[in-house]
Amino acid sequence: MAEELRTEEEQLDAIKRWWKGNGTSLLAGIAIAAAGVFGWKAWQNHQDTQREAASVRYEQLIQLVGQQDMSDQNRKQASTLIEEIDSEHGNTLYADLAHLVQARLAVEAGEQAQASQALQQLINNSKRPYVQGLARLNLARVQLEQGNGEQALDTLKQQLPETLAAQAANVRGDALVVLGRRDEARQAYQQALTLSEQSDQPIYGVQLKLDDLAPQEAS
Amino acid sequence: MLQRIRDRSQGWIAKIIVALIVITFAFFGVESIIGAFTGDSNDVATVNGEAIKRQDVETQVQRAIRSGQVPPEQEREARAQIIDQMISRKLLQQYARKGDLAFSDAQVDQMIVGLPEFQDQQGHFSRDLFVNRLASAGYTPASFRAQLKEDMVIQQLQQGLASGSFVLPSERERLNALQNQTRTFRYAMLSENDLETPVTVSDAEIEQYYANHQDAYKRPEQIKLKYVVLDQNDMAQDRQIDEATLQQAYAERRSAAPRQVSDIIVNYGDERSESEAQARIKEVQDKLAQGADFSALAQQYSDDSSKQNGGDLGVVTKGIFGDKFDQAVYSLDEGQVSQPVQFDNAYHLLKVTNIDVPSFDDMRADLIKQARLDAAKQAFQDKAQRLKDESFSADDLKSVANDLGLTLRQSDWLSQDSANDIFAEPGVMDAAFNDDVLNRDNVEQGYNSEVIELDDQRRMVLRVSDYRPATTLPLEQVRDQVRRALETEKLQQALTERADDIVASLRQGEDVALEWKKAQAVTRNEHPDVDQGIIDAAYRLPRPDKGSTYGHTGVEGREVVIALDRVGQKEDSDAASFIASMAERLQAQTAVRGLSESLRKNADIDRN
Repeated sequence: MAEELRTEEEQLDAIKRWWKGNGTSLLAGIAIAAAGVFGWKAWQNHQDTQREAASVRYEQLIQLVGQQDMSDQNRKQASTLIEEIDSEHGNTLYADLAHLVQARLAVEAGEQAQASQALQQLINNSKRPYVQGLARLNLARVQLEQGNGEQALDTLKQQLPETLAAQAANVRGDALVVLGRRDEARQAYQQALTLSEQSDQPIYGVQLKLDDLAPQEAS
Repeated sequence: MLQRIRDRSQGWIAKIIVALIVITFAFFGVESIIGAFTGDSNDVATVNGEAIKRQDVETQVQRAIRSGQVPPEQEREARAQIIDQMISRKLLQQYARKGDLAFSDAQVDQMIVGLPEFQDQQGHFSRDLFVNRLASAGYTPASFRAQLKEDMVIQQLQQGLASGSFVLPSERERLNALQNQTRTFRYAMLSENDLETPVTVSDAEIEQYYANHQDAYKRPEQIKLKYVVLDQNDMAQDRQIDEATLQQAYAERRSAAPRQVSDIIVNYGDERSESEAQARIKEVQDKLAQGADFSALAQQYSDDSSKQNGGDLGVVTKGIFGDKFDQAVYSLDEGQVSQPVQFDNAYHLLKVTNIDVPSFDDMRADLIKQARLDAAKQAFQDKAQRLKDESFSADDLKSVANDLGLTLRQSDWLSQDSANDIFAEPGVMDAAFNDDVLNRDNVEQGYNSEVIELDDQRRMVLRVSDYRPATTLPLEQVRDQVRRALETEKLQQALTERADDIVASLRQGEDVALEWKKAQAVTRNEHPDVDQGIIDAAYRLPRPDKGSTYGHTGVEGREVVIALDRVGQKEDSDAASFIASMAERLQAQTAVRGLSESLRKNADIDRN
């Protein structure tokens, strides 16, 4: 009995000694861990708030541009929202999509330069190959609209998603027609037609364009 | 046992295990542990490491069947399609999540409150409606919210791609110009008479053609059948049915028929207590007993919008308003009013105003037919059993037919794919070409078929009586057929060559005597008088600079020479706006579909 007691006293002493040596660092460790957990929580909260804010803005934008005939005021509001999404949530997919919408609004307003600027910005800043490729395809079309056939062809030479290859061939055909290179245009349209049949994804008008380029010697 | 676990749990190993479990729960939740043990067999597929659970697939399949979108017999195809859709959605969801697309709880709440499906007649969100609607669609509020969140980010992604697509003015103009182009042209059908020498066919050519087209003159293996048909309708024909049975049958039909129902509804809950509602419905009941008009009382007392029509709910079949309603309504006859019935937080007085059933006289023929069938049912089943037993043990079908008093019938030659009439019914040819039934070496050695259940009221047993193997028919037997085919082929060839010559001459500016027909400013779309094939060919011809361009095309076995004279333009503003909106829609569709396919191509998808 007495022996046990002694050992308990000894144990208590040992613990006290240990605490003197390590107590501070243990408390500090716990404090750091707690701060880490709270910090992480706070960071996540902040992230969630950011995401929600982006989502709400984007949702408003989609509502606005989904209307049949947009008023000038709505257009203004839409471009404010796009700017906010761009500056506040720049790296998100929301920003990419907002830039696509921005290009469309510019095209509707007849501002091809603005449209091409929005698309260019998207191509430069986005980390998402598909959206970039889609933007390139749209950019080539805008460039063609501006009368820059060669530029459009250059844009189409850059990386494009495989699943938009038929559309790309179609736009290339359009560019070649504008440049007066009819034989190459015919080939491009033919390619667009073949690709779109393979992927079972019709492109409106390709057959019409191809027929309209019928070579003189054909029968 | 428990004591032992308690003892052991004092040991340090047990403490470590408990600690590990606690940590796992704390960080990853219960699913991680359950998931670790249930494993992959519950996953239909994994998409970039994320699982699609079998249970989720089944829930969707059942939901689709219950909502009537998928007929039950197409369940298998539907399941494959649903899995495919779920993979696509999973991919989009991952893409959206990676791009920081999100839909918060607050946004979900706002959305749910705004959905008209969950609003009451005053346009307010109703919690009861919400829960009931979800339950009937197989959702819990939590699973619905989760689904909605998923749906919304995918929708945001797709809407963005769609809203960002456009059609440029020059593109629109060009498509419009092409689609509304008109072409003025002439065309002439070539016939045999336009050939310089008529087409002739020699015997040697016929033999050659026959040798080259052996497949066209093959006859598949064929059989002749002896067979008997047992038909409940035949047996029912001369049954005597007395009037009382008919009346009884009519009464049964009538009691199960849909009813037109009026309902006086007294709600309780917000405005009045249950006992107040009970008192109020009693009041209505008393007034009815004193002879008041039901529809007038409905207008005065009912809380439902149906009160404007005197409480009329229209014609109601079973299963719409629940069991209590059905029980009450189907125990009433026309004109009767129920005791107060309590369901859906209200008291109801129900009145059947009409029973939707034809009159006895109108249904008489139908009733007699059904009654006769019913009367013959037992005899039919007995006989079907005898047919089964006897045809199984007998070496021929004739004795079976005689025993059962059935007519033994004989078919003509039949092949497996080209049977008709009764032989085309499901199962018949399969039974006939079954290896036990058809003995190709010795027809006599074949057995009677099993009893074929053509439908509920007909049974068939058959036996092969003759057989001939597949063969190529000898030339003598098909000579005329061969000659016609060859003549057609040679004529087409000759006409094509002739058309080539004519077109060459026309291009040289020479005159060729042809019976031209004129097509004036024809658009690409259908034209009442000109065959579409000819229009298409005319649109494939090059535009004429001066004069005309020429070509020819085969249309339905005839050769047509076409001269394109003029290309023009039609003004059509309706068409123009249609073309613009279609082009825009297709652009949007392409952007959305392109993403899905792109994700799929680059994804790591395992199907189990």
